[in-house]
This record gives sequence, C-alpha cells and structure tokens, in this order.
Amino acid sequence: MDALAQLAPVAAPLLRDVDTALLTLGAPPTHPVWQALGRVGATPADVVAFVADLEPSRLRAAAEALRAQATAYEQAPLPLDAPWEGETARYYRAAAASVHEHLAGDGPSLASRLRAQASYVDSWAEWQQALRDSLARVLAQAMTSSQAVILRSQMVRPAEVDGLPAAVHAAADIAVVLLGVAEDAAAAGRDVIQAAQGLDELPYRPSLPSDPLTGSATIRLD
Amino acid sequence: MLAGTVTAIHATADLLGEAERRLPAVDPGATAFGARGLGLLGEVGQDAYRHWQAAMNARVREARAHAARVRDLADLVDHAAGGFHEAQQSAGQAHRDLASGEPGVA
Repeated sequence: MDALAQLAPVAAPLLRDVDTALLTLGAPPTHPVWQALGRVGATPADVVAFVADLEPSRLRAAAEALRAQATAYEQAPLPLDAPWEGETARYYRAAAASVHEHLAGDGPSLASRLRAQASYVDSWAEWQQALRDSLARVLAQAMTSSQAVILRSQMVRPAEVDGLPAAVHAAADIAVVLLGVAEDAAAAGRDVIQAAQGLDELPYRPSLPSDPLTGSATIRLD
Repeated sequence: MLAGTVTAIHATADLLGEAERRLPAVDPGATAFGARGLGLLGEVGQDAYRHWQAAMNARVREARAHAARVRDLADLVDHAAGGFHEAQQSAGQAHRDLASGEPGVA
C-alpha cells in the first residue's frame, strides 16, 4: 500500500469540501484555478479518485508476460543446419537463418519488439507510480495547510458568512496545487508516448538464394 | 534425422501460433492505462492505450506471419525428405533388378 492509498480516504472530506466550495461558491475571478480547471477538465476530488484507482502493478504484470514471450522466442528450437546436402539444403540453411534472425536475432527482431513493448508498458507503470507519489506529497501538504483549516472551519459553520471569502480563496488555493500535479503528469505522459520506439510491425526482409526447390540432394550421414 | 528436424520446426511454428492466440490476453485493458478517466488525464490514458493496442496488434500479426514462414520451412524439409524416399526406392529397385538380372528402368 503506497502513500496515496493511505492518504486518499483520509483526505476525502477535505476534497469534498474543496469541490463543494468551487461548485457552490466559485473562486476569486482572477485566481489561476479557473484556468487550471479548464485545462485539466476535472475537479480535484475527481483527479485524486482517478489516480487512487490506478494500479501500476497491472501494467507491470503485462510487461512481465511480454518479456516471458520474448524469452520463449529466443529459445525456440529452430534447427539452423540441414542434415542433408544439395540446393534444397543450401536454401534451407539460408531460409532458417533469415527466419531465426527475424525471430530472435541480434538486430531488430520479434523478440526485441516484444521487449520494446514491455519497456513501453513499464514506462506507464512508472508514470502512474510517479503520479501517485507526487499527488500523495501534495495532498499531505494540502491537508496540513492553513487553507485546509480555514476551509474546514467554514464548512462546519456555514452560517458564519464572515469567513466565506477566505474559505473560497482557500479552496481555490488547494485546488490549484492538486490540479497542477495532474497537468505536470499529463505533460510527462505525452513525453512517454513520444519516447516510445520500436513498437511498429517489423517487416520481414529475408536474404535467400533463388530457385530453391530444384537440383539434387544427398543425405548426410553423421 | 529429418523427422527430428521437422519436429523441431513444427515446435517453433506452434510456439508462434500459440503466441498469436495468447498475446491478446496480455492486454491489461483500457482502465489499467487510465483511459476511462475524466479530462486531461483520461485523454493521456486513452493515447497510451491506443499506442499499446496498435503495438499489440502488430505483435499478433508478426507472430501469425512468422508462424506461416516457419511452416514453409517444414514443407521444405518434407520436400527434401520426399526426394530422399524416392531416391531410396529407386536405388532399392535398381539393386533388386541387378540382383535378379532384370534390366533396370532407364
């Protein structure tokens, strides 16, 4: 259980207050929370609930399965030699070498494509964990902030209107830092997609002698 | 000897065929990528998952196409084995013809 899994349930009342204040009381007209809300397209409580539900372990499990498949490709029992001689045997050796190279050779191969895809999904697992950790840090700061005290005080005594402007400002301040985590994470996520390479279909380019199935053959006894 | 070669080739083709069938089950799903989220983070999750899906489709196509190539190799060995069998039969017949004093087939 990471920090966010522990903090999210405890922070739920504060987040509910933040959302309620934003939705019912609004925010100061020039406060940056308005733009942040427009860019993120979700409230702070929604963001925290969404991130709290992310399970990086599910992505890591997919990466492990892909790497296991890559290992299976690398260990495929494809015979590279031909236990006979002649044109067909020469063709077989060339074809088997090409097939093996494409499957699990030193260059780009089906095995390396699987490993690249495993790295891709691992990157997303790391991204999710980094997002969870950042959000937990900011959430912990928000929960112990003076803004949280101001907001909670107002929410338990809604009839006391003197404290309303400060509470509205406090809710907007808390919201903008939480939404900022989402914005930073989105930018980092775009970088993960940009960095993803070697995921497209690998074309097969065999190097083979022509006219394979003609000519004589003699079996080799060894 | 050739039978062992063919068996090993078929094992490789089966490995690829199995990969083609099983790889889609590795998909952790759109939710695991966060593609069901609201707003900006949901969009990022959708892009991430679309990328994953395109890659997975490529892996499945690669496995399918390569399984066919490996089976072609098995056919090649079968072809060679057929040639040996024919040659052995001809040699055996010639030997029997020689032993019995009959003229061989030209």
